[in-house]
Order: sequence, then structure tokens, then C-alpha cells
Amino acid sequence: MAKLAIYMNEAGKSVLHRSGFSWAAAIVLPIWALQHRLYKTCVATVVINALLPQAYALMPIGAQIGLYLLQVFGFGFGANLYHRIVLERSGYFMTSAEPGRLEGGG
Amino acid sequence: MITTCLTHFSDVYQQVTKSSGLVGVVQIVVVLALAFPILAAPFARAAYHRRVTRLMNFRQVRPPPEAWWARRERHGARSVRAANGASTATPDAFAGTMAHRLQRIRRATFAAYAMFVVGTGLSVPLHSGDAAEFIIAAAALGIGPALINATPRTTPRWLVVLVVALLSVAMIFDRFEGLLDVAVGFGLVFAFYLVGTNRTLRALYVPLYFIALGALASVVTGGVILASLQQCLAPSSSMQPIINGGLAAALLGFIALGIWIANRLIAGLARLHERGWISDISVVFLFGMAILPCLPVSGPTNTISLLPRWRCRV
Repeated sequence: MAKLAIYMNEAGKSVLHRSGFSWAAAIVLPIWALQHRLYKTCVATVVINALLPQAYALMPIGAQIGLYLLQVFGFGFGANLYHRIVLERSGYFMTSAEPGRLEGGG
Repeated sequence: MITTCLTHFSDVYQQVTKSSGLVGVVQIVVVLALAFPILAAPFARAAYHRRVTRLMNFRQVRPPPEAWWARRERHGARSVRAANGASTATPDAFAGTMAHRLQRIRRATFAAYAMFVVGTGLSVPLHSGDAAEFIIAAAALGIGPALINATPRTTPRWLVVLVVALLSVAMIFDRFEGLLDVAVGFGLVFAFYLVGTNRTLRALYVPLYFIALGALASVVTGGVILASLQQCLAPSSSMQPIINGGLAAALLGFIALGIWIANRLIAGLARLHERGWISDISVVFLFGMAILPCLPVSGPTNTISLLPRWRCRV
């Protein structure tokens, strides 16, 4: 199960971050990005989502399945990690978290 | 090109509204959005419980910055203190003040309930229904909210039985046209009543309704616009997969926009709640009273109504 943590910046803004796999990101990455207020990422993912069908059309069926699985697992596992990196680069730091997350080092 | 696209838009719009018209589509969206919170409220409550339980287990690893405390204090200062706050400190005087206030609340609630029933009865000439069905239905549906407001405790079980009995009596007067009509109408109204009078579910009803309404309205609007765009762009283009992908992403964007607008509305309600202008009781029942007369008002030959007529006008 995904573990939660609260990140804050010096201006006092707080963000809830969850680690682990994200089904929302795996299925609808633009909506996940909007939900996390990653607007540039949202635009980029809309473009990617528009181009992906064209890439699928150029591939044989086996490669299509492989790319689809790669997309689902890559987006699903990578999204929350990406969110954490964006938060830390923007000056956010973790103030509290679930015990499981602190023990797991996530 | 633009004229062709507008023609496609007109075609899609005609197809969507062909069977029941624009008003019918709006009615279906409103009724489906009314049903969603009734089904989703228990699940939302369970999810909220799980989330709060998890948050309560958090461990602090670093103190929040000073700015966070300052923001928190500013946020708390927005609430307006009641002008008639109790100034006495002795327990007896405090108990006396509270008893006096409770009595005033009860009198005001009874007056509001009586006005609701009488007003509904007086509005009968505006409709085509029977006066008795309107008055009995209004009396039944008003008891629960009135009792909740007058006595701060759980609604007694006998009241639910009484409401079902009164609604059944009211339905005898109704000239309904089909069993499905009655089943949907009765089920929706009674389920709304149960959720609205439940202490822990009622606060969820209005937010969930706004979310469902925003999502459904954006699906319908986005669907019409994007389907016409697809017809407009696809035949003349070899890039159909890209266009389809873009349109699918745009539909998701429409849904996100609808839910975002709904969230803004909920945030507005939350600010009113913070200021003490509305409560979870008043907002649910003001909302119920506001939305139900807007539901289909059908004549004897109009078959697009999803609810029995008596309920639509209460």
C-alpha cells in the first residue's frame, strides 16, 4: 500500500505526497498531473498521450503489448517518484510521514 | 471548413437531444447526479475514515516552518464569533441560557416545518396534482429534518417507518403511469431522505452531488463537442490515431475541468460553513428543497419524467 507523507516549504504551503504505485498515473497520466498541480507535466503528458497511438500503429502486436505494459508500469511506479523529486527541487521538505514510510526509507 | 464543422456539431447535438430534447438531457444528468451521492456516500465516509486514521498515525520528522503556523492562525481568524455568545460563567446560568436557546430553536423549527407543509399545500393550484398527496408527502419528508434540528440526537427508528407509511399513502393519490416511474421516484426520494437525516452521511451529500454533476455535465458537453470535432477532422486526415488520442485526452481534460469547477463550488460552501452561515443540516435540506422542484414537471402525456409527479413538486 502507498505510504503518505506531508511536505512543506518555507512559505508554509503543504502538500500530501504518496509513495508507491499510482493507478491514476498508470491509466490517465494527465489527470494525475493536474491533480498534483504539475501543469507543465500535464501539457507534456497530453502531447505524449496524443502521440502514443501513432507509435502503437507503427509496431507489431507484440511490441505494442510490451510498450503498453512498459507505459503502465513506468508511469505507475515513476509518477510518485517524479512528484517527490519535483517537490524537493521546489524547496519542499518532509515534515511528517506514516511510520511504514519512515522505516522503509521511502 | 468551419461551416462543415458547425454542421457536424449540429448533427451530433440533434442526435443527442433527439429522443428527449435538451431539457430531457439536463434532467437525466440532474437525476443521475442526485442518485450518485446516495450510492457513494457510505463509501466516501469509509474512505474518509481510513484516511483520517492514517493521518492520525503520522510521525513528525521535522517541525513545520513558522509561516505554516502563521497561515494556520490567519485561517482560523476568518471564522466569525457568534454575536450572542454566553457571557455568564456559572453552570446554572449557562444551563438556563442553553435551555432558552433550545426552546427558541424548537419553536423556530416547528414554525418552519408548518410553513413548509402549508406552503406546499398552497402551491398545489400551480400544478396538476392532488392537494392531499402534496401535503402528506411534504409532511412526511419534513419530519426528519425538523426533528434533527429541534433535538440534537439520532433520528428514532419509528420515524423511518412513519415516513415510509406517509409516502405510501401519498402515492395512492398519485396518478402515476408506470411501476418503474414509481420505483425510481420512491427509491430516490426515500434514499435521499435516509442519507439526508443520517448524522455522518448528510454532510457528504452535497459535495458528492456537485462532483457527480460536474463530471456528468462535462462528459455530455465534452462528448458532443469532441464527437463533432472528430467527424470534422478525421475524414480529411491520415493522422486519425493522433486525432483520436488527442480527443480522448481532451475529453479527460473536460472531465477534470468539470470536477475542478465542482471543487471550487464545494470550497465556496466550505467557506460559508466556516463562517457559520450554513450547517451540514441546513445545506442538505435547502439543497433538497431547491433541486427537487427543478426536476421534471410532466403533464399526463409527457413520458420523459423519471420521477413520479408528486415528488417533483414537493
